Amino acid sequence: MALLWISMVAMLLLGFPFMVVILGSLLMYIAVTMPGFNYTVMVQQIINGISPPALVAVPMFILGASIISSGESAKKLIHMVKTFVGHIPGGLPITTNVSCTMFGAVSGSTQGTVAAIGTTMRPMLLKAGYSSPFSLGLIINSSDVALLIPPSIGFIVYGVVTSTSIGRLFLAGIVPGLLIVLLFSIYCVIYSKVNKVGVLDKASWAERRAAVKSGGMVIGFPILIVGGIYTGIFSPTEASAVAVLYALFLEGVVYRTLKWKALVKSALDTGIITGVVFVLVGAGQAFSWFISFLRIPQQVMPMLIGTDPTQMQIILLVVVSYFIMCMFVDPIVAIFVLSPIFQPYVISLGIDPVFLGTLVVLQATIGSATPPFGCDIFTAQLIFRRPYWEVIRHTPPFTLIEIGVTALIIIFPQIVLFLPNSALI
Amino acid sequence: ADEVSEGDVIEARLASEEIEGDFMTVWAEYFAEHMYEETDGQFQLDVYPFGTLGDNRDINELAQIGVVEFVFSDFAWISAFVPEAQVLSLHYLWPRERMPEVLEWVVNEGNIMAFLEDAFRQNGLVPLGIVYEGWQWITSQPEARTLDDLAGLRTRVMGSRLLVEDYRAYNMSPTPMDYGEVYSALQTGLIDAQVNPLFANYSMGFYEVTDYFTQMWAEPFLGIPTVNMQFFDSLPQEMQDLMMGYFKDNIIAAADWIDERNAADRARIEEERPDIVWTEWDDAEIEQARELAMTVWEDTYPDIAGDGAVEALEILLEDIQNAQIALGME
Amino acid sequence: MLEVLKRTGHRLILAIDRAEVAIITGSVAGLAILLIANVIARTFLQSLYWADEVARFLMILITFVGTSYAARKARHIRMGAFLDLMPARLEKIFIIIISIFSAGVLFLLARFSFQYMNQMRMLGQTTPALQVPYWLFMIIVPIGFGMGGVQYVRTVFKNLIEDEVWLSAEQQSEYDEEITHGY
Ligand code: NA
Ligand code: NA
Repeated sequence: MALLWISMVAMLLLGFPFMVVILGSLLMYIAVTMPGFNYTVMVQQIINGISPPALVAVPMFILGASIISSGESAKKLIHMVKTFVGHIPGGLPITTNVSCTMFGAVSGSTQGTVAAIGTTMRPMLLKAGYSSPFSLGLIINSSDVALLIPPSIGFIVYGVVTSTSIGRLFLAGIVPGLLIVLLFSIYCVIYSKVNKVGVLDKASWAERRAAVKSGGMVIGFPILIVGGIYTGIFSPTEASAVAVLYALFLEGVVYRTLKWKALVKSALDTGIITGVVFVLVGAGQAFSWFISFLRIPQQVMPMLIGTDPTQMQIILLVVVSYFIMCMFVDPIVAIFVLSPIFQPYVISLGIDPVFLGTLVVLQATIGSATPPFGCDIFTAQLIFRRPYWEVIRHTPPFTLIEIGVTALIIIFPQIVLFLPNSALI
Repeated sequence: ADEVSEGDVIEARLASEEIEGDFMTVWAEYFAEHMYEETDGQFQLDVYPFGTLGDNRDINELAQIGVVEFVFSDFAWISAFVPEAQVLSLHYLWPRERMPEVLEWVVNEGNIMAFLEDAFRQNGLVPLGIVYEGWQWITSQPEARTLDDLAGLRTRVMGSRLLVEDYRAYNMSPTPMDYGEVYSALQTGLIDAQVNPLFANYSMGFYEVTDYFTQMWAEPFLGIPTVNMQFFDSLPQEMQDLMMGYFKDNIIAAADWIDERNAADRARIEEERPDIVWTEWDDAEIEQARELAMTVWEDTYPDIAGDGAVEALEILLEDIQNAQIALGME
Repeated sequence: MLEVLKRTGHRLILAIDRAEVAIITGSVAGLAILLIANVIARTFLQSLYWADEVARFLMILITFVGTSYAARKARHIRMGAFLDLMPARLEKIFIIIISIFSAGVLFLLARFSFQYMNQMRMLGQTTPALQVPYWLFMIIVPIGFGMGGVQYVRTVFKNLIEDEVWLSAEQQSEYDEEITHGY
């Protein structure tokens, strides 16, 4: 196993495609240590990784955002938002932060959020004078907060695997989620003041009215999706398709700027991004399958915590394990792989599973935007076509804030528990 | 496959489609213990709970190609691998009364297991029995007191064509959907209802977002423990007999276990949501629904499931009737 | 003779390009249409019970054709940070080593996917909703991996023949399209 890790890190650093690193290491490992093993399981698991129906939302949100971005909508939205918040210090990044959280909250897809909100907000941030790394760090971290705000796929999966009430988990995630949004916003204000960026001339009300008149329809995009999901007209997956429909309506009927060629290019770009991300999701699934199959966690656990661990030891171990694991694989996969390992300790030590589940999903939130392999780093790299270093350069402040929130929750569990414990259900 | 010689330690793996602590995983672990003790440690079985080796389709396939030796799966999923097993998805096959005893008689004395074993073997598998996991409950937001109430209910069922047809026969609107999406779909009203055994309704929290629990007595949730054929055939006869015997001998014990668990879960639901309305259909309602279900048996089922499945239905119906006679129920 | 061969090669590459683009674009469009149709059907009539299965098929198609296309255009995710810092000659050597290894891995995966597809075919498994043979869903998997492998072989030759550094046979530098990328 050590051989596997060393060869992986070396190949990754040397610039091998990630897909090849993960799958190549697995092939080598099987060849060396498991002679006669049926290699086709790898293929089965690659396909399994890309099969969950909810994943269909990812290409659809990317497509909707791409259609809107290729026409007039983005420009009009940029103009409109700018007339309102451009003059406030940190106004633009706060808008990005809040929109990402709101959009991600309902879409349930952090990757879709990076695509849909990120592609619209990034040009605005850049034009306002924010650095590219700041905009990227902000977008991916804000999008990932969506994992904490219901409905959240992370909580649903954790609830399923550990038999914990999903309703209580949902309630538990709200306060830490909003706390992070607040802290991110404060950071945005401080960053903007220190770097003296983002402050534009204050627009007049006449300008604002005109801007709303021409760009107001674009706001219908999130409203339609949020409203549609919360009123039960469509599921998050279907909402992604409605987003495409609305994008077509806006660009084709309202603004009449839709060009066939641009539409085809949007579909092609969407397909390529999807393919590249999903083959990695599949490779990650194959990798974690082997970790489960070889029972590696069951062998490692007793070495880490001995036979008689305390509550705090388990909580810290859970947090650290998820933190590290989510840096390498998809959070959903991490929850599937790790939760059953810790569950017996959680039950026997009487740790509140709602409290622990919130910490777990928070680590998934952090891990999705943390180097080396946080999945939304690559999403951003692909969607914005920026180098790896540039995407990760400005993530540490956001990660530190989230680590701070983790510590706060461990010290004061009431932050998480007071909502689910006071609610009637 | 290689013959296993006397005294060799045999290491095998079982993939369960339920999580740690739920029926299939618990009984798989009992099975593993039993085999270990009876063979004096010669047979060692590792149980992998749901989620660790992939989704439902994957684990059945892993057993089929022999990467894991055993899989504990349900009647709907195994049908994708053994079409004849679809017979178990038909509604109103089983009597409401003394279901576990009838099942025990059918599995041990009837002809259906021999028929199914042939069908499973053609697909590289051997079934070790059929176990009962409680009746399926419909949980819904508008009430489902009568057959008429069911009409138009958008109801989440598993993505099996026959199950879709089962519920469509009551004029319901079956909506296949990812398991993980069901809770929020019920909460937002995207769907009106969903179908699951009681323990799942508790552990998934569906009682938090629906007010009505309805028992139609149409469909028991059935588990099917299965072993890879090549592996099974390579084992010594005594070991094969031990395996074959375990689940067939424990149908009643397992049913008692799940009934107890279901009762405890129901008590917990009633404590947390005293306002939930529990409805169990009476004979008149069942009779009406059964007539509609029969249209599926006669028209849709032969189309979907093919010749072998029609034969399976004939055999199973005869078995069930004989079981009821043997148990003095008719 | 060599000219003819070269021209045929060019035509073949162009044809593959067009086919890949058409499949990716068509599948994305198809996915959108399918999902929208399902919303309408579920709201006014009944859910299309086969929608998830068709969506899954399209996702597999997009992923594996996309894998091949991305190998051709050097768009697979990699950490180019250290490679970017190397002198051109060293970078070229590393790209050749990486491409040889990548081609090997993808060819092996193509082989295992083909075996997997055959296993499915022999076991006769069908999909739960549409009841179509499951192996039909898999056809694109060995093709996608295999074509991806071919692209890495082309990258090796391209770098051996030409003086410049090529990330793939059809892509010289990674970030040349940026900023105005439509957004
Ligand atoms: Na969310
Ligand atoms: Na984050």
